[in-house]
Amino acid sequence: MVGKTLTELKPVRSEGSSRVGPRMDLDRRTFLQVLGSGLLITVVEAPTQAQPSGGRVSGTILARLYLNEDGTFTALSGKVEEGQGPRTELTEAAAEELGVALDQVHLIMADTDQVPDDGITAGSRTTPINVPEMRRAAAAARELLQQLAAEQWRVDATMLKVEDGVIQNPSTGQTMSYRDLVRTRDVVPVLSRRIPSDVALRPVEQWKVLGKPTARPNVRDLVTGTHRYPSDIVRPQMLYGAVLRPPSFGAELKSIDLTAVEAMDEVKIVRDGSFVGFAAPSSFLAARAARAAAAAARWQEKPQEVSHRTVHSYLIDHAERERARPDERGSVEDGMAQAQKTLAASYTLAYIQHAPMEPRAAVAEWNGDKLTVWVGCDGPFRARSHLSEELGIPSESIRVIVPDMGGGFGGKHTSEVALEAARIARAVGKPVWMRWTREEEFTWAYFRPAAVIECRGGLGADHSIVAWDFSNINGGRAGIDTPYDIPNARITSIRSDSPLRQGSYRCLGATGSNFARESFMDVLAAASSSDPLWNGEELLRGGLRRGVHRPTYRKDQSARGLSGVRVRSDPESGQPARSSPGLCQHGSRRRPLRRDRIRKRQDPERNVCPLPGAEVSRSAQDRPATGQQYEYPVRGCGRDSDSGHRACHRQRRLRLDGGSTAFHADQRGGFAQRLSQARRASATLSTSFTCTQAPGVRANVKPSVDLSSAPTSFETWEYCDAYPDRFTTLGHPTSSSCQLDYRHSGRRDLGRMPARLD
Amino acid sequence: MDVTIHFNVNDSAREVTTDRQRRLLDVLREDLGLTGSRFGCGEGQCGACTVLIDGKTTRSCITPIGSVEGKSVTTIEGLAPTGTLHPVQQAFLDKGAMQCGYCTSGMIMSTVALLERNPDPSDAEIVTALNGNLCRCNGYARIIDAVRHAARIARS
Repeated sequence: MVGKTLTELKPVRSEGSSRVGPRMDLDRRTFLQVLGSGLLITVVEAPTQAQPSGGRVSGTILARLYLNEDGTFTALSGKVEEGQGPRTELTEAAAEELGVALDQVHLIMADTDQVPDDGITAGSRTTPINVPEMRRAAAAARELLQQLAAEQWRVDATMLKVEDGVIQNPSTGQTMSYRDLVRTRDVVPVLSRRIPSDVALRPVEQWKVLGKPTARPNVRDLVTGTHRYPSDIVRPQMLYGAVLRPPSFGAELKSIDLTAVEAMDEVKIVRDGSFVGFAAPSSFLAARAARAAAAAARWQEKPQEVSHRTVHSYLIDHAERERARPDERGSVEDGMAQAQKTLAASYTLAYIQHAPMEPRAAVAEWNGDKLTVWVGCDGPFRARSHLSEELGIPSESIRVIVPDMGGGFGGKHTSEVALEAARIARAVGKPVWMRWTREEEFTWAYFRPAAVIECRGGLGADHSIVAWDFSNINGGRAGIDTPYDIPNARITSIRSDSPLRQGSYRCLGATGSNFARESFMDVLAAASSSDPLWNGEELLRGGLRRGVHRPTYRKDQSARGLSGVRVRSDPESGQPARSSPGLCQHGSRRRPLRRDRIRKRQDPERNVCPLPGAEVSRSAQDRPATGQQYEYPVRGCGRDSDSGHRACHRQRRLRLDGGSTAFHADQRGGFAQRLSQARRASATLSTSFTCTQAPGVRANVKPSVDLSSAPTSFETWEYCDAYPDRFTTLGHPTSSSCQLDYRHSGRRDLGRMPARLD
Repeated sequence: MDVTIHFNVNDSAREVTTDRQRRLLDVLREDLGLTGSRFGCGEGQCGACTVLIDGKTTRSCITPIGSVEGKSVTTIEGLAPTGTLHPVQQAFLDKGAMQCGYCTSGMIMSTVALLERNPDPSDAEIVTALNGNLCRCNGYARIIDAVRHAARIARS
């Protein structure tokens, strides 16, 4: 009745885009099949349309933009808003080219019945791809509407200009608003034209809307609490859903006695093989039903071979080294042979959850054979396809709407929760709301890949790095290459057999590779000289330490804003071959980090530990000189997070004052500070600090090395040791593991442990 | 066991008959249609569900409805009854102190309570007061800026 069971669902391929590197496919393990994928949805108000929504042909202006009867515009985008700002910038893009104020454009996002398929919202593609697209559509519309006015006035359209929504003829003083125009002329034939590729866009220096700080269009709804996130959607007669979860990965339901649940008033049971769902008039009753069912379920569990303690050796053991294709420049073996000193270190990354503030949530409503789903996900059209496949109904019968949602961070590329809601809703004949609990989030959502990163380096007689060998096992390719100018370098991305379901994560794999590379650079720097290695001034000049690199500043565009950095260059073009420190590394795209702008925008005082609860401190003497002190955290952000990379193309809304992923940046920053202090004191460094940012997430850096003696090998450093008990408790009910997570989360003011309400 | 609870929500008297163990957050959202208080963790640790009970910040996701009998609850929807934004809401708006905005309701409620008891908080006091509110997008600096701004607006 409700299609395939959960165990029969195929893993989704949503995070398997080739752009994100080789390890982003869902893995082969059977437990991955426990969940299928879900979908996402948004709600939008329907504006008064002067043009019908049907028949908008892809590539035409109407597919992207239409003029309403009141002279305002409605713009359409398939992208989703999850806090990264596309609603603002796409609205601005349209307003700018149309020559209207921001409030004259209403943007509809991520509603499969209304908007073009712009693909999944990921990889920071909206700004470089969709903003120019929107600008072209709007510019084409403006030109054509201008022409209509020119025809009416019998003048040359090029003489006219548009300001504040009014077409003007400067020579005659004649004016006509868009509102007048749409009332006197049929604009549909004109706007049905294709968007020319050579349409002229408004030059940056003439921008009036774009590039200006502005509030998010729906900011008022956010501060008044009236915005409806996916989990806030309410439909008439809606029931609240819950699903019975296995006690461990790969467990199969052997039998279940649902007598106790059947005895519950108002609770409906949806049973299909291993899939057991519940619908009730309140989330409380639905959860109670799921708990009662869990208590009465017998499972065939699989032994959990891998724990958090063994996962990294497991990844190493299952590394497919023979299939890896290293990218090698020069000869690492020769370089190592020439080196006066060689060092090696390995770094590990734990599986971590994205932990958006809003859990995965959906509402599904059937109307006959037609399904409407509101869901928090990154790809509405992908969700629609997946629902179609799993539910056995045509895509055309499904409408997926993604309301502006409460964060995703790469974790909502799939939409399992929508599928679950849709199945229960179909069975019970009423709209069904589903929202995963934090426990479900931390257990059943896909993880950022765990990884082992092996580094080897060779130092020459002149303290330069002569050999660099960097292998990332299971972490993906993003940010894997070194930006430093090293004559013999080998970069290898190696697949392994991920024991957990893994997928995209903000900044993709770049966080891990950047962490390992820069940490190992610290190691090499420490080993190369007896001088204090961490000199703020030098750090500011490019993140390189005396004795390791001799700065040779390349004054080229991609290195703009950087100084003292020797960037590896392409021998033929002389241009930097890849990224340089501070350049964003994100998949195959690298964009320059505009440090010059970042410097202007940041308030120095606020770089000190922006995270409440983070125990990162910085003493006055550690601070670089005024005017330069941004570099430190920016350096961290630029390399270790997507905030630097966002900054590249969204300067006006720099988030670096908060450090969008200061989670990573500050771990590096905090560690570096302590490293610096330890070096000055010639002390043994042994520190750990926590950075609490999401429920249950603990970030932990535990180096324990004596850098003053310049050792030649290092213990593995743990990074992001979130969920220390995750694996060890997989065999137990998820609630206990969740509590353990919190207990280890390092927060000092947790108060009492969660009250179990039942 | 269902019980009838009388309490005040945003200055209006409400009565609900429900299981006394249900959390206040669910009653607000599902029974009273006040979805502005958000569910983040369900365990009182993220602050997205923060409401004021008799003026004190409370995690509505770990507050059984049975415990609010006779009390007065203020949610984000109760801050601007006339449509004019509360100074704290205005400050968050002015400073763009949100990214996804899911934590914003809780941040604002915690700030309202803070400024009630301390109209001129230091940065350290702001951080302490908001320490139980998580923002996963990590917009803390702007949030702190907004709280400072709110204090200025409220004082002026």
